[in-house]
Amino acid sequence: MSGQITRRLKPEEEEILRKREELAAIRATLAERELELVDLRSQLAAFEGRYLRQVGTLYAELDEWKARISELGARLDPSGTASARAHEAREQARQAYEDAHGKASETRDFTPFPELRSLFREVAKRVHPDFCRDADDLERRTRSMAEANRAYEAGDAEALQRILDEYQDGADAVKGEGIGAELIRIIRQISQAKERVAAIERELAGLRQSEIALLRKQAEERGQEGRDLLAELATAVREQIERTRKEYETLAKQDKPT
Amino acid sequence: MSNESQLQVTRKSDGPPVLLSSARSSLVARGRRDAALLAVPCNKCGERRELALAGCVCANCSDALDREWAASTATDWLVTRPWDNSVCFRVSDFVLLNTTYAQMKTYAWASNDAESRIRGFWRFRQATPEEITRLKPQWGIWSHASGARIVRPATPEEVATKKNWDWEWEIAMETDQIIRKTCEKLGIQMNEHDVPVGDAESVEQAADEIAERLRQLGWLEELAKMKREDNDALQAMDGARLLEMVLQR
Repeated sequence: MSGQITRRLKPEEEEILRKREELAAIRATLAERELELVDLRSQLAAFEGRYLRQVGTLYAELDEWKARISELGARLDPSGTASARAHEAREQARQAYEDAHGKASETRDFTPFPELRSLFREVAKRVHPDFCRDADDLERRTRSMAEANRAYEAGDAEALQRILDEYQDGADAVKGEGIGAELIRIIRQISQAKERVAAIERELAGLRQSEIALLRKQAEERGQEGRDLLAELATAVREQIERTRKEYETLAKQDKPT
Repeated sequence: MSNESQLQVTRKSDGPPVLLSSARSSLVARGRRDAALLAVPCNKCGERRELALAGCVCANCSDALDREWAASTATDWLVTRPWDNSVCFRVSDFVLLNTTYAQMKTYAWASNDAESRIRGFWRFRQATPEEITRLKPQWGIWSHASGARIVRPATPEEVATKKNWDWEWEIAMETDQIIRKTCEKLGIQMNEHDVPVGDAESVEQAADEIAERLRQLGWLEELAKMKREDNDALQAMDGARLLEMVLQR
């Protein structure tokens, strides 16, 4: 017979153990979903950047020629309608240029290495704002999580590690407020985490239905047929530019005083 | 502040929910629309370009045809396309009468519809070596569904032959109608070999009535000539056997 004495857990202690396990599980799920979300956002942003550089800039060029044609048309027919059309076409050309050459076009391809993914997962489990203790803590965690997202997208493992270290120094340890308060806190954390998981699911669904995600899906499907959709689009728009440019030149000849 | 109140905190934001600005999104939407257009290749050259004509022909091919024929004032056109027989390379010819270049281009040249949708069918025949060279490389397959076509203004001889061909078919089909109605009236039916089945007297009466009607229309001689020439239109008639009896009178 062993001489060990085991202390029987009180019912509230047993409950808190169960809730801690549940919290650990939901933390893992939440971290996984956050990773999925940041991955999808980054991949879509990278694809959008490629699309804007490869095709968007050509649409901007096409719109420029169309605007010039409209402006010529307005000179040849100085009615209010032609002038309004020219103004509209010029505005579209300006907008297309801004969109195609803006910051979004600079986003490069995103290929996170496995260690980065696993580090992000750890950070999300530990730092996530849904596991805050109070309003100050929420503020701090929200900031840290945003930093973590940026660091992940930039492939900056060191920054992720720094964030993780801050929270491993006991910063999120439960203060001695009694078992009842801790139980309530854990229950609320579980509930908030579940809500956040649901919100991420909604956001993921929204992103998957976005124009850029649908375009990327089309590109992937064409890729399976051995085709390059963006290259095909670029060729098609270049042909439109060529036709539009010729149309402009023909009109420009008519516009010249004889 | 109690523990309870400290715990009632919520996140200020769920993160950036919008990936794209609406303007950038519209630039992407343009790509999606154009990508959908590129899903189907041009039915002339097989390239995946924007389809500028009738939803099936790219601007390059359309422009190429314009350069060749748009200046033509022809109103009768010959359209030749492959018929489905890759062993002996047959083609079908269509003669489009009283048709402008633009109409011919849209409804006969650009279309990749089935045979019945293009009006003006004239004949099947063996393709010439030049036609095989021109029609096959357009898609690499020999099929009426390929969209491959050769067009040119029809010659006066072709127009005359096609008009005569149309006339022969018209009187053959009209004659068939007369035969059918007369047989119905006299209770005569046709068996599976198109032979009239009924009492001899009724069949004789039907032949008399049909002959009289055809004489009134002035078609008897024409039909007799078509019979001698083994005309396709007469062979397609349901009442061909009864017409034979009529013509033997």
